[in-house]
Amino acid sequence: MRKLLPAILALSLLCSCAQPRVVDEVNMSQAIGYDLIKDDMIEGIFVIPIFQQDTMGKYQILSGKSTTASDVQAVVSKKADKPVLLGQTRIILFSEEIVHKIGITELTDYLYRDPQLGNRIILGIVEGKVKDVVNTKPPNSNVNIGIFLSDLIKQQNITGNGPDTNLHLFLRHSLESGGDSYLPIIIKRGNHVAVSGNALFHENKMVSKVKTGDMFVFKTLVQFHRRGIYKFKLKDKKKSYIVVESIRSGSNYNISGSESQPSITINIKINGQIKESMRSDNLTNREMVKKIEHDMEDDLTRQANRLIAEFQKKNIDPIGLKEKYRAKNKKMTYEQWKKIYPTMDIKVKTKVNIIQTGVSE
Amino acid sequence: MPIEGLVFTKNPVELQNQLLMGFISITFNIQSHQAVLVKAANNTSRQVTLPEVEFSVVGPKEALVESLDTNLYLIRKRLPIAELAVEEIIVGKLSKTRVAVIHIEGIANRENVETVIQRITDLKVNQIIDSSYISQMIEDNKHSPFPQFIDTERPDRLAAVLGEGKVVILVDGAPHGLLGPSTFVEYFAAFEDYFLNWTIASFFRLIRFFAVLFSILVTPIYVAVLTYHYELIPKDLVSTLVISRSGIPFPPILEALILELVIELLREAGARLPTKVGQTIGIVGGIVIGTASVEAGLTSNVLLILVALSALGSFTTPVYQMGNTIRLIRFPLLLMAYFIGLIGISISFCFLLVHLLRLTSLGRPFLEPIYPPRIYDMRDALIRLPFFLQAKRPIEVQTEDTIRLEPKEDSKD
Repeated sequence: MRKLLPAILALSLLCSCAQPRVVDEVNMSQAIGYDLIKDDMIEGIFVIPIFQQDTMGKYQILSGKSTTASDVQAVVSKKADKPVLLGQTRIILFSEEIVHKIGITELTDYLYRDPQLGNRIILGIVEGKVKDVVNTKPPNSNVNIGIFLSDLIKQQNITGNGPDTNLHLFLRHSLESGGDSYLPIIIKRGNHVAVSGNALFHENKMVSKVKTGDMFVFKTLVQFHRRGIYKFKLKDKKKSYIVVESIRSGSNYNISGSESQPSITINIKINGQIKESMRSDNLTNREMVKKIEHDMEDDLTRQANRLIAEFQKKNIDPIGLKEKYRAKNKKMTYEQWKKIYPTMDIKVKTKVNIIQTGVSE
Repeated sequence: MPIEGLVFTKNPVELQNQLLMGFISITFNIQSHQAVLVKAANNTSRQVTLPEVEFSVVGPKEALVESLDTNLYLIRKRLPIAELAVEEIIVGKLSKTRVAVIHIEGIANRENVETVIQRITDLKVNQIIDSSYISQMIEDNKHSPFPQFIDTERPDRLAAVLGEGKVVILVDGAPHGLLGPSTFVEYFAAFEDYFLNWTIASFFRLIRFFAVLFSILVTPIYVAVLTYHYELIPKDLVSTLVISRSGIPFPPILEALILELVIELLREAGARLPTKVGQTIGIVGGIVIGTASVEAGLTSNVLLILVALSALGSFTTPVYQMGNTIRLIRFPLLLMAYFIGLIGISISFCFLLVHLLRLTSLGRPFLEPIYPPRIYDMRDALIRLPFFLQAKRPIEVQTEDTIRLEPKEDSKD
């Protein structure tokens, strides 16, 4: 005890050097946007909430210019009464242009290194200027634009067709050889902002997009999910619309064939319920449900085939087929993969199972 | 006329001792050198009254009093068996206090009984005023803030633990009995738990454990998070916390220390004042100091709620001594939280845990049944299972006879 006591006292003395960051003595940025101005100058835009009694959703926007992402933070801090810190950041936006010129790996390096930033923050790509998106007034005046955007993307991923996304998932994909990953795209239309498809990355650059209409198929290929919504037309004379909500859907991958000529079979399985049927036929009729299932299978297979053909043509692999193949063949190198992938035989089989047709009838 | 406590003696020292204890000495014949001692002491003692410290809504409502004989009677009437053994030891050069060590032969572990008797016999003190003197002097670790003997005023609880095979110490002049060996979880088990249905009792126990953890950790975590880890705050809570902090001139640690000390002051003032006046202290403290300090902008109202709740949490501990301990160990955690944040809390908590792991009560592990893990004893630890599932006595006590519930004879069908 005699020896321990000075040790404990010394501990507290030595440790009192820790740098306090008291909540009301820092500017907590809740959203950050990066725009490119000129060739290699980055403009960082920080959304910083102002907390006041009885008023919600007040915020200030500070911006600074520099050549690196971390330096931008220092420049912005010079313009504020309290240091600007990143710990409460919920969303980080990059313009399409800056990703194209600088590269996403270089831009996310700082985020990856900073321990204050959580792994669950959301990254997004902005079509056009980030500045325009950040300066939009959110329709819900109780939150600032940063919280609004991160909530928007999160709820779209949970209840809509957006695949799950955050810094951790993004880094996991983009740090693999090939760096095939995806991020949501945000665009400004008139006075409001919206999510519109996914940006696809390959080797540090944004190379393609998944359109909003293809998101359901893309999400099904990438992960198991619930509550996605899919709309299609029945293949008969009336061409009426059917909307199906997924209950539990996803896909399995089967790899067969030789090492030099592998083939992959993708089994998409959709368990869903009919959300809306723009047609007066009675759905208690099992024949009709069968027809809906069949038509939806056809439609999904066609879309999935089109998407995959597109990926193969561009030699990108956002659905992670490379890792699935490597699980079977560990000797495979990235160079080999690049060679065999564009001509690989990839089949899609779809199975739709309508579990429920709703309360009517 | 029936006379109780007749003693024949030739020993002049004993004669003197007993005369001083209120006996009358009668010598018939000078040559015989023998005296008869007749007990004539006027035993004025309090009537057996309601338990005030450990009050329970259901169950017996008798409490121990200051007279050892009455207390022994209160226990013996619940255990009218020949095996109930009482060993009386006189302690104290000045006070000559009678200390009774009680156990049940054939159930209690001899080792426990011998340990207690030996430790009490070895005491070289002048005065024993209360049972708490004994408990402080014979504890395994005398520097630990954690009590190692449970202090109770309920004779029914004493009778119950005797049946479990524990050792009970009663001190003449003390309205509280001591029982040991005890475990950490026992201090959070109110005796009322046994009078209620096991589901309800288990729920109350879990609430008490939660309250204690909450009470120890909530202000340190508040200080750590607000000083160092602002990134941990959920986004919907940020504005609430920052707004409540805005305009407060002190850093979180000072704010927390001030409020914690205010609560301690109130408690101390309430404890020192007579009951009637004590009530007004509660009103003064709660309403005046609480709301006024928030309105004056000296403390944030979020912290006020947390400190009040943590004080409330510490008062749920059924054993008074443990409640005091809970209130004390919050302060080192608070300081460490201020020095190095959550790491500080983790370090202090590790220290606390190591201390509890090393602690013993009469040589039996204090943290049992959590460590060493004894699954059977878990049945009456964090939760309390029904009586028919507790057929054996606690392993912790190492009883000689382990079965306390005879299996039913017709249990085959």
